[in-house]
Amino acid sequence: MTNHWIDMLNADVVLIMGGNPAEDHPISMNWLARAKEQGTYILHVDPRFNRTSSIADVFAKLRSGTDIAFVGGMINYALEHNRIQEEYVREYTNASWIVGDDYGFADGLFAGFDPQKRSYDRTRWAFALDAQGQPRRDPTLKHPRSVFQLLKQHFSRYTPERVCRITGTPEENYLRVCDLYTATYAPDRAGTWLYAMGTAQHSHGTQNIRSYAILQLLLGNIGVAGGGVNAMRGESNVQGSTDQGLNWDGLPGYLKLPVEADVDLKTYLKRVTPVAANPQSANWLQNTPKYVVSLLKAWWGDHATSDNEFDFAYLPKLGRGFQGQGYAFLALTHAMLAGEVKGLFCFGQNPAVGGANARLIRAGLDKLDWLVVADLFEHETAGFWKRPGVDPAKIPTEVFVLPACSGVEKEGSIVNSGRWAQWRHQAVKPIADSRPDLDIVDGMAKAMKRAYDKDGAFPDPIRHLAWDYGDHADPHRVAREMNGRYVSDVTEKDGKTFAAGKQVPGFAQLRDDGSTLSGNWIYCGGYTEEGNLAARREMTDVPNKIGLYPKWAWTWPMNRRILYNRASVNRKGEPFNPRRWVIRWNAEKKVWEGDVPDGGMPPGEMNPFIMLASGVGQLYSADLVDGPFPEHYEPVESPVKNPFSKIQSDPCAQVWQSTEFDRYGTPDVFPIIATTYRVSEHWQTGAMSRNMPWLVGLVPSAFVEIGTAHANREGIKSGDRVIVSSARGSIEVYALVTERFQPFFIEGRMIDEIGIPWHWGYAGIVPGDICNDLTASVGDANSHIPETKVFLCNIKRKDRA
Amino acid sequence: MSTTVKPKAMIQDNTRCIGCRACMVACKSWNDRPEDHTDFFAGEGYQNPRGLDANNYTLITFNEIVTGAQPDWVFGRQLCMHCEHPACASACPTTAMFKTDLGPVVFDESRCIGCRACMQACPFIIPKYDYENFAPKIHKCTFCADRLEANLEPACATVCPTGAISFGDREDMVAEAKRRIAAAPGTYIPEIYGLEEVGGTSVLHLSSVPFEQIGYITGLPKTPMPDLTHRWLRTTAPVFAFLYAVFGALNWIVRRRMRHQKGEGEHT
Amino acid sequence: MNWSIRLTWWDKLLLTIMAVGAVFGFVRFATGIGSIANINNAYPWGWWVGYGIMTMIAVGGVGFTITALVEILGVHRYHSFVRPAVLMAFLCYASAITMLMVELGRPWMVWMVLVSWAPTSALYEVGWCAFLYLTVLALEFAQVPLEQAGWGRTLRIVRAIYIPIMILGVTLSHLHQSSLGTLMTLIPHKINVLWWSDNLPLLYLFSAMMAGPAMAILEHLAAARWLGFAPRMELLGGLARIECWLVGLFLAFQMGDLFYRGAADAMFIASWFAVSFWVEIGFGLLLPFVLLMMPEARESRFGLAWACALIIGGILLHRLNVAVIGLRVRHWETYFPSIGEVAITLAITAAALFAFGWLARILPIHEELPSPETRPHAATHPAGVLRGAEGVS
Repeated sequence: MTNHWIDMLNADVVLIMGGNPAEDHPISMNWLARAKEQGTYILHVDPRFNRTSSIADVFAKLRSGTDIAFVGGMINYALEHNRIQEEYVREYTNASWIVGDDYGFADGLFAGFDPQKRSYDRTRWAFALDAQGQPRRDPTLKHPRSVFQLLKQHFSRYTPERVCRITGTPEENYLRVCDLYTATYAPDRAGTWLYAMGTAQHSHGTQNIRSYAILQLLLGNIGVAGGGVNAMRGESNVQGSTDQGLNWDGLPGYLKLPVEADVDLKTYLKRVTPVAANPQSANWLQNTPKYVVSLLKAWWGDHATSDNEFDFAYLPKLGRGFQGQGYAFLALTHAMLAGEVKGLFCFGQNPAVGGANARLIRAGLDKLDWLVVADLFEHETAGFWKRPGVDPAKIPTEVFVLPACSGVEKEGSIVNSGRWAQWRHQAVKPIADSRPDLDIVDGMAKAMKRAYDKDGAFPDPIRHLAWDYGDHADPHRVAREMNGRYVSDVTEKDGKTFAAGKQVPGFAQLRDDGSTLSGNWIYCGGYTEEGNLAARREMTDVPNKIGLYPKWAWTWPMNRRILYNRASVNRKGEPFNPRRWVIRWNAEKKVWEGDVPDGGMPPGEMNPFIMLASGVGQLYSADLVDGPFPEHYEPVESPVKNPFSKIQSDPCAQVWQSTEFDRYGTPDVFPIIATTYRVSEHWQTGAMSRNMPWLVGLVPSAFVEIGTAHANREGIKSGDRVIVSSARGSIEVYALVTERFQPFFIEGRMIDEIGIPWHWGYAGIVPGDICNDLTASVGDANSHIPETKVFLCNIKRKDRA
Repeated sequence: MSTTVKPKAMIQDNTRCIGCRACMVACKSWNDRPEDHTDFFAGEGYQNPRGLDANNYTLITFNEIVTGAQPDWVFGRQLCMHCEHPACASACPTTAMFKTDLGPVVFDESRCIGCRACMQACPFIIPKYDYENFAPKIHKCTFCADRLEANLEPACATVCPTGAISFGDREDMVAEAKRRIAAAPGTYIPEIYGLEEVGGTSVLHLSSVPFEQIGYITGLPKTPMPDLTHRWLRTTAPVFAFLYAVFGALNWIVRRRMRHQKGEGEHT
Repeated sequence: MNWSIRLTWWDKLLLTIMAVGAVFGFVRFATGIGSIANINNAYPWGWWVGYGIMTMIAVGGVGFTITALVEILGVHRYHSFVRPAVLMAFLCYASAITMLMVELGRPWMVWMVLVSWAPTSALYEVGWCAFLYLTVLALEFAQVPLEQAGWGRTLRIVRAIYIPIMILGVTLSHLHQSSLGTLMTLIPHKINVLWWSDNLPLLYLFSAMMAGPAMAILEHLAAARWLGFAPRMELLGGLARIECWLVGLFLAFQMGDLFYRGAADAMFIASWFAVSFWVEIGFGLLLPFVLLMMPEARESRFGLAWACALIIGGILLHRLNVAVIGLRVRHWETYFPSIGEVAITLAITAAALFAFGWLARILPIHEELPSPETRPHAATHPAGVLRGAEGVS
């Protein structure tokens, strides 16, 4: 989240799209309920009326996969009605920048598309530069090639009538949403945008989120209290896991993993360190070398010196990946199926149930030489070798199940969606021999070091790891290392001295000469000489009571609660919203008051988006592979021909077609749209919740939700057994008939949509068929996240199937 | 001057309820109730079980209400209302059911004979029985009376994520409920369920739709139920004395007449 | 005294029914009520309470009604009906209490009622009164076996307290018969409008009085047939006329109460409630009223038996309607008595019938019968009367 949970209280309008917080983040509903009591409007956009919709002021139904059309229409609405925060847009976004002549867009394709490679030459989207090599600008925003005008032109096709014909939203509701939400363009009004997997898990998921960012920038809602683009994170510590670089292509702190072409540290740093686009850009990531070197020092300690490039050679380098597709989850599962993966460590994940195209995944597990599972219960992945329909004698995989203990049985921190790292204490001792993951990994690392001391294929990176967290791994030592400390005495330019061994006070003090180490630069500042700031629990709020609670736990970066908060003030440091100000410049004392400012320099020319090379919000951006602007495409499996252009689905989406499991359905056989979601009572694949008798008692069996009209046509009643099938498989579940799913009228046709909660598998107290047997290996063009939220299916009563 | 114990009450604000059922699980946890075994949802929507029973002292009802083409999903909650004048306590012949000063109407297993008069008497149909047991018990919400003794709130109020369940002194809860309705008349129907029903209860429900649409028993009289039997029972002693005297007198007259008849018969 | 009798086929049938019931009773105690009964959370009271307790106590009203008729209103004509009435009442109350022991969830705790103070509870009052009244009935009837066995000293004590005990019995009956009705006034909105009334206590008291002459007539006819004497039709006719008045007044009271409450149109709504109501009124009150109005019926054994049986049936249905059938429950909740429930109640009733038949053959219950040989003072103390201390009945 750019903002945080309590900040919802500051919003005048909350728009929830692609998310269901009442069911999937119920604790957050505390803040939303209170906000509503204070008069905040809650708008909910979803294919189905669910428990979140029950407290919403407006529910706008949306056909799965048409998010960009919906939001594109809102962008158009804002532009048409001139509901933009003018000063903000002009000063703090690239609206005024002139785009080069090479850029174009026609009939669904941007300039530079190579149909063979299914990719764009993004140099075509560059800005027009002036003589000094700076992007040209038109502050009046009238230049026909200005980003602003191109934006207007691009979204002018997204009229309300056209949008509603695509999304199936009743026009009255749609206009109400547009009106209520775009009213937050006023400087004293703020709108917050909440989303989750319903937005992300699409073949154009990243562009979905991009569309939110564009709208929020136009309305001046980024960096202000009650605004922001706010992802509701899925697992209880997924925010922490992405912060620690557990993605396939990342290092801790969202640094990029080196690629094969990065032959040395210098080359790598040159590639990944952005250069400011103009003198007004603070370009904070120019400090990347300091963070990389500090990370390398943390990992290889004394062995990493400037002589050996701080052991940069020990870092793994990214290749082209499996079949040139990288190594995100879909590529990994295909590599497993192809027998290219010998062993798998599977910690706190259950891909046999939770991964897209689950039959493919389970077939891939069969090919492993060994599998190590660490989890609380023996779930479907741990027991894949004894799943129904399979002869264990025929599966050669050696499976190790390491019992892990739960969050209440161990000490450590969890980072919530709002980036608040909250330290937790051990409440009870672990049951039997279950252990914290930290202990397990620590044990493995120590054992590996011992083994590699004897021999091994490439032992040095492991042997020389600076690994010392105690005989029994102490989470405090890990946290302290994450923050970082001085390796040698340092004297700063301003004369301040720091002794070796002391904790580094913040990432501004990290250095690229090996005198500091830090396991994760964004956490630098969280465990300082003051102590473990994540363990603080002070209930005092800032004077204007916007819910910052600066001394409750610790937020990265540097305890900044609202990101990009310099965008909440004008060039003089005066807040746009004097009542709900986040930071303000005290001209007398020459300091900033309020939240930690996003960039401590005094107000003036420097632009607020300091993490971007451009320094300004990107209405137009060449960073995403499938277009500088979002454009509506249909999902890869769709019953509707894209009426916006001749390009049916995202041309850069990753569509796997290499195996027998990669089959795709057509609307004549699979005319129904399917989506997937969760219920409050169960958690992810049910590995924990379907072993809890009380929860199983509430929601026992796998089921599908089907609209009343649709069910009547198929002769299906609640409680009937039905078969839901897709091109990839079929499942048998109970049907729950409900008024909350209503048919969509798309381009004059009636199209039905059904929804399947995906919590069931063959393990646990109550087994059930696996919903992900139906989903496809289709990855988002940018993140490669699977498109599990929309696919084609058919549904029949069991005796009629 | 003795300190008076202030009775407690609860607000169940259904406009804030998101149907997450944390209250149901917390209640089962605190009261050590076993899990339910159903195959599919027993009630409407996700409602499970269908109604309160010996293993579920509170229940969320799922109600789909369709107005025009707009669906709505409204949740309600069933639990013991801990009436100010509990019918169950007045009907119990052994005072196994009684209301404590703090407000809860509690069940003392050690006094129960299992007559189930409380089940018949309850206007909200709350007490349940575990008939399969050799030594059965009455099962119902206890308002977490033991937690109240320790200055804690009931389990359900403690876990509710949205603040749909508030707990406090009854006079404060009544004032708060009225304040909410006055502050947001478009959100609430102007009715506090449990304020005046059967002489007032300790659980005050608020809703955005009429209560009968979300599974509540409506049309209850405002008189406390025990008043209905009290009218008759308080005459027991005087009636007994009166009748005994009248019958005794009549019998005396009858016997005197018989003696005279006999006497005359003998003389003749 | 000779306690033994020759078992007839009827006796054997009753004993068989008792045995079957006992088996079910054993299962009930071994594995809980739920294993043999259908009563559930929506219907916590069913056949056992409706028939086994409420109706048994109602028809046990024959005791106080006949006793009051003879001893308090002084209609000595009917003195020969007193002993059978008191014995019937005793056995009815004993049946009801036996039923209670099966019906209660924790019958071993029933003594708790006697050590509690719960004056707001109608069931508390019923419990105490029934307990005391059973004692009263036992003391009233004790004269008969004591006399038979020749226990003179005890007999004199029992006779000495007879008058106050008898008056106590009549008074107690008035209290607890009406309290059974008070019990049901607690749930006005749970009972269908056809049956709930402010006046339920009076209605219940009245129906218990109505049960009196009906039961006395039925018993006399049955005893005449089985024990072999000629039924005294003129006496029965007199009782029948009294009963006719009682039925007529009760009908007027119940209907009047229905109209006064404004619930009369509920009679005409198409529902099972209305059907049950019409059966109760039609077969239980109207039809017997008409029969009893007719001299031909009053003078025929057949007519009397049918009329009285219908009245008793009507009382049973009334009690069931108020406590079970008329209950408003959620649409998916149902109740129908299980085989186990019926078997146990049949067994208890069979036991009462058996006991009555047995005692009627070894003790001088019926004045109409020749006295058993071992009875002393046969000539001076005819059967049928119970005596006070002065020897005047």
